[in-house]
Amino acid sequence: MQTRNGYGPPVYPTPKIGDPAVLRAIVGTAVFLALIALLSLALGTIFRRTAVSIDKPGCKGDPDGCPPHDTTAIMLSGVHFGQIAAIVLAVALMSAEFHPG
Amino acid sequence: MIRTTLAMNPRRATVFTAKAVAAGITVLVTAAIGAVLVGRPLLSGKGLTADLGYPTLALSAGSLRRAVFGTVLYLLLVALISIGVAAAIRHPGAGIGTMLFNFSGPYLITVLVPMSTSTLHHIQDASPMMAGLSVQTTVAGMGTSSLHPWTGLAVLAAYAAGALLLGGILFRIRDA
Repeated sequence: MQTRNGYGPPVYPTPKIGDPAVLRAIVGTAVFLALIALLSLALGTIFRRTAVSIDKPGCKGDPDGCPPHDTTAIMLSGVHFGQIAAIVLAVALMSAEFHPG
Repeated sequence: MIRTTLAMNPRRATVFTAKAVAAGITVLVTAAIGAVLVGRPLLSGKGLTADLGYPTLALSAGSLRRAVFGTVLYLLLVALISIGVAAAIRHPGAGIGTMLFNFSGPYLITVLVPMSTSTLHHIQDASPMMAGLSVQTTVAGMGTSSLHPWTGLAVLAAYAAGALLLGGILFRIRDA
């Protein structure tokens, strides 16, 4: 597409696929997209609580047919962020002396 | 740094306990303030009302108090496990990584891998995060594990005791 629109050599040399820099850019883009997908997946799972009973079809999206939501648990779901803070704080308190800086 | 600390106070058990207490109290106070003040007004402000199937429990309800108090205890236990794991692993990055993997890993597996309900329950009941967070359950069958709320927190407490024991022993016997 680029070449047809005038981005030709010598000013815009055609990249070779085997060139390390080109290869790095292509693979890097793929890895970047994969990581974004993974991040979305992780965030999605953090904010979604699994019910223990998953064998209730027809319950999805229909509040009338479902047991009431556990509002208290949702209210306290900030604990997922809280635990990360607690982990980082406690690990740092213990490990920082072994690996200062 | 740790050599300086141990030169000042050669009793390693005391140093280890002091660190655990410092982390515990900090997390306990912060969690208590956060749990009580943040969640409740936020939810109703975003339209999660009783009409839509999100009934709010009265502040006097026993299960609400158990959930809030349990969440505070949960965070305290997480901090204690982190202290034990960090004393065993020593490297901060590796310690944080191990903790996050052990807490969120089993949960991600239950979400991503299709499995039978009994396998799901086994993983949930053995996972520190999912078993521990069942202390927040106020609607039967909606919890993060099939355990009774306090039993779930007891599983996490057992992990904490094990991690502190391991970390404490390694802190005592290894060279600084």
